[in-house]
Amino acid sequence: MVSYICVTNRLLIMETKRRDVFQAIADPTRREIINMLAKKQMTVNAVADHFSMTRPAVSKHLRILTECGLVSMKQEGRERYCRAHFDKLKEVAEWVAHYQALWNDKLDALGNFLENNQLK
Amino acid sequence: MERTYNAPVDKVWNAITDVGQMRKWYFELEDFKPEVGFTFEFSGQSDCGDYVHFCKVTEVVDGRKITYSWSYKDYEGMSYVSWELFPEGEQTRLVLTHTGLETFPPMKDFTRESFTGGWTYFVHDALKKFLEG
Repeated sequence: MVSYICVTNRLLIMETKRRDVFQAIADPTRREIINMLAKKQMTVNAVADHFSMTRPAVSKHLRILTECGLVSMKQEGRERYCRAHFDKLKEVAEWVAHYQALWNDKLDALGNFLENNQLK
Repeated sequence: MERTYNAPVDKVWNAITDVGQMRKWYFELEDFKPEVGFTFEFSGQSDCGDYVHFCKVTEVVDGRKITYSWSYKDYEGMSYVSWELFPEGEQTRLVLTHTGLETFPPMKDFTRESFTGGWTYFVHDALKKFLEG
């Protein structure tokens, strides 16, 4: 994934690695992190303390989440704060809901069709 | 997604592969053949706008499973829809799997519902079910 940044009149091409959101949320630990951050922003330490895994392991999860824009980090004094960004997730949720609705409809229709056709 | 229907497996197979039957509950298909390589297209639902779908059958296990690719005209991305049937006595369990959705640009032109308080739950629930099959 390549990003373009306009700096004064020059175009700077930056190579950014953007993770796939689905991959990011497929992991239960990362879903748990998002869940926690959904309520309030937390320091990296506070997030890590919630889990029994090692700090590097938690950092890895946080890195994946920040890479796909679901979480952002901000330095405030000595602490680094994490917060969740919902627009991306909301987009994903609506999109998934669309397909769920579509297939639910079709599977319902198939059920009705089979029921009505049983009278043969 | 999974459903169990009160119908024997061959009836369900016919319902999902015979074009005359498919037209009654699925989409308005001009033609359909459960043969690998068969391509077909159709216009989608009205609630999400009129999208032309391009499909091609990629896998057939006669009487049990059929898979076809599903992509959209004018949009990038490729997904696969697979229908698998499991006979369970007089009933049939149908497992529908739609993979590759993450390759599509998120659909923006359907009505946006506003999620309030419990939306994170919805995301976890719906997405979890979707991702875990």
